[in-house]
Amino acid sequence: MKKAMKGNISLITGSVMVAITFSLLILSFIWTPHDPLEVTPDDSFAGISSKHFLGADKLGRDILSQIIVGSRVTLLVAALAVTIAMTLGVSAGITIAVASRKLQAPMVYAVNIALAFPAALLAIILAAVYGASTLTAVSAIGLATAAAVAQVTRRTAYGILASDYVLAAHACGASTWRIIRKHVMPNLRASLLIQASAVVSVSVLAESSLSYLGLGTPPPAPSWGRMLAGSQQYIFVNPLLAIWPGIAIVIVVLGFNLVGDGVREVFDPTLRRSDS
Amino acid sequence: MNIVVFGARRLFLFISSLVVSSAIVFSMLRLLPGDLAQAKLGIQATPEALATLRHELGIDRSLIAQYWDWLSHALHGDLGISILSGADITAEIAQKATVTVPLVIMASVLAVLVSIPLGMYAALRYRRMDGVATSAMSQFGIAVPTFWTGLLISTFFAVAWQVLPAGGFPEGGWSEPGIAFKSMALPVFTLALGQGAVLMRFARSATIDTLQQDYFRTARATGLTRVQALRKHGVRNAMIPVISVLGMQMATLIVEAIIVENVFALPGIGQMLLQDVNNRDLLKVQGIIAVTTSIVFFVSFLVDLVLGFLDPRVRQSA
Amino acid sequence: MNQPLLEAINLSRTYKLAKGSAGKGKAFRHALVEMNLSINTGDRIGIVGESGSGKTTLVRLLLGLDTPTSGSVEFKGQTLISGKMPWLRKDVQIVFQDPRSSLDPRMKISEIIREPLVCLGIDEDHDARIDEVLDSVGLERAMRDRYPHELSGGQRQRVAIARALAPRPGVLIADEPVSALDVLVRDQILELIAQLTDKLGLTLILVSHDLSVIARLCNRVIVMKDGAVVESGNTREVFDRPAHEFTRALIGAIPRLPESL
Repeated sequence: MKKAMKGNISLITGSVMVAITFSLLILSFIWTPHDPLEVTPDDSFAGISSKHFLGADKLGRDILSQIIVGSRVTLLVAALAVTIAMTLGVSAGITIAVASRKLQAPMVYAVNIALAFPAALLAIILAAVYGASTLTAVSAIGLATAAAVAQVTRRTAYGILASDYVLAAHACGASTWRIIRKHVMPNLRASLLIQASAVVSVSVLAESSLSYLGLGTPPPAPSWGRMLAGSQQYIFVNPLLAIWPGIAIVIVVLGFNLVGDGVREVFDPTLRRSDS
Repeated sequence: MNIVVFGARRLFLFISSLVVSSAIVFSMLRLLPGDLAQAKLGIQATPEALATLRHELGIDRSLIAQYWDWLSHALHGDLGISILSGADITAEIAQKATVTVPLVIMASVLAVLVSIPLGMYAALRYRRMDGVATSAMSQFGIAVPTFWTGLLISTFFAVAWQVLPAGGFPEGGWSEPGIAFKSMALPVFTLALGQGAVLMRFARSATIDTLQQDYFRTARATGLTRVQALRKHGVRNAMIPVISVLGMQMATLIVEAIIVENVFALPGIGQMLLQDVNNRDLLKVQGIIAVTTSIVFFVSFLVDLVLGFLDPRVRQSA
Repeated sequence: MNQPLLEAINLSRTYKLAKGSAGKGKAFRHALVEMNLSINTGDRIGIVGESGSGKTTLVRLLLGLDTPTSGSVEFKGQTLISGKMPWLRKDVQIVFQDPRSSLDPRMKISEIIREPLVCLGIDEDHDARIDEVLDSVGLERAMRDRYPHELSGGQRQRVAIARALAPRPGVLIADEPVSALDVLVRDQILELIAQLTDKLGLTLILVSHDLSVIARLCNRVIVMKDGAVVESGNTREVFDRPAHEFTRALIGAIPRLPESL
């Protein structure tokens, strides 16, 4: 009981943080205090004021407006990457799990090799070839995390396929396809939810790191990582510039991590067993 | 399984992974729209000049022949010559590695040393406020991007309090050990903080498992206190997942090191890699990626061996 | 004599062990060695043996859930191959040992019982059939919309029996059907299996490590040890005059109240 409560606390805190993030996204389409790209030299490095709630950067651009609009790139990259990673990763993971033993070994081998290329490294390679863009960042993050998703999905699916209820389904004459659809997928659902939230966190971290390194979405579209990179030079002049975008990133990442943890605690099958 | 057979299998896996992954990187970098010669000479180059340069660079031959050529040289430690600067790539990587390798090693050691006791503490007190606070700290540590930690740490330690340098590395490298260590301190700390937070979670859950094991209860029943019993059984049990996770995290750790080098302006492999990416020096990028992935595969090979030695069950499941 | 209903012919199954736990070379475990068995319509056969004697392997082979290393299984003269085999599954159904693991936790009871009806393409009103089998195993129809974890162990095993009976099989295989249950529930489930066998005229294959369970339900018994049959015959005769030392040991293991009580 206590454990379930703790899970709910993670879930609630996480959901609130995720909700804040999505509110920023929606707000970015409706209203921002200023045009995020509007340059007002008079406001250069303005502090917190009623005009600029979070201050302004060197060019006098409003920080709050940039943070609100910056949520677009962050969440766009995360949404696309999570779509790629889950689609590829889950289908690969299940395929490997149901494949014959002889076919399994080379596929597991391929996944292990893919795991040696984390998102940022792959993004660096793609940036070297095609030049950095949102597309290279998305593809790199999506492909790299797909390998991790495939790995976890394979293990979980393997456990499900070895279960008695799948054996019972075979005895009922169920086809492999039906077993995947009716038994494997529903029992994977909690694990997939946890993985998807982890992929979002990883994507947001990777996207902000790439933007920081100048390998993400190119200017002028505001991005949290690039805002932080820009703040580094002027950290003496206005240290607050190095705080706000970082907090935004932490809220998103922590939010999705906590939701994942909460789901894990709530769905843990050992906790859902009846008390018999 | 026999430890020798196990080792031999892992060695084969390690070497074949190197070949396969380098082939993938090679072909990815050759898929460049346009080609190396074009990239070097620009769009105004005459077709003749392009052809000559292509021949000189050996890129008019088949992809497989080129890869074979590159691989056989690479195996002799020759990664070629930078197309842009003309410098020997192997020598340059070796020189920059004197910064990156110590950075990664020191950060790993620090992360392990901090995460195991903290994880065990969080496990022991997991129903109390301080235990929960410790694990909340690690949650937070995982969610903070490394470059931001670096930025904040350099602001406080270097700029505000001026205790340690915010960046750079002495010209003379490790021949000036005092300054070198000082410039390494903040980057190592930054890198270890992120990794330690990840490792701590695994140490914590391994310890919670140990606390529920029968042999642990037996040890408690013989009169040992929880801490004594944990010292006897828990450390080893916490170490196994921490070491294996560290092995799996090596690729991520190297990427983080690349980022940290850029935050603290450390002249290591990571900083060089980013310059080469911006310059589109593909042969050099390829060399650097080949070296870093080799390190990743080598570390996971070592970790497998160590775990196979520590835990006979690992040998079985190979 | 007529052709037997279900027949095992020189059936062997060898497992390759996780590589070389015994040292060098490949290690094998012979789970079943040259087994011959024939079951006729209406038989009630008990298969008894210790854990590891090959009982479960035999069951899986008889159901075509595993492929023999050598030998074959024939049902009504037709050899079992791997695959769906609806002709076999419509007629041979199984109840597994542990209903906590043999029922999919994410499926409602009605979906669980519906599975064989759908997969085997049973041409009948599925909902009506589900209600019917729920009645016959003594579960309320209201259980249809429950999930397995909301049921007790005994109720879950009744669901497993209902699922097996749904496609109207002629042969019921029960693999240790009560060993995962509480002692008090065991009797009820055994009683239910006995009743249904009588009422539906089933051919029963009951696997157990406990001779007393078999003595209650079966007229024939097969004693297995190390993947081979050591003794078989009429249950009464085997009990009264056990020929093999191992059988005597098994009979001796049935708990009895001390005479003095």
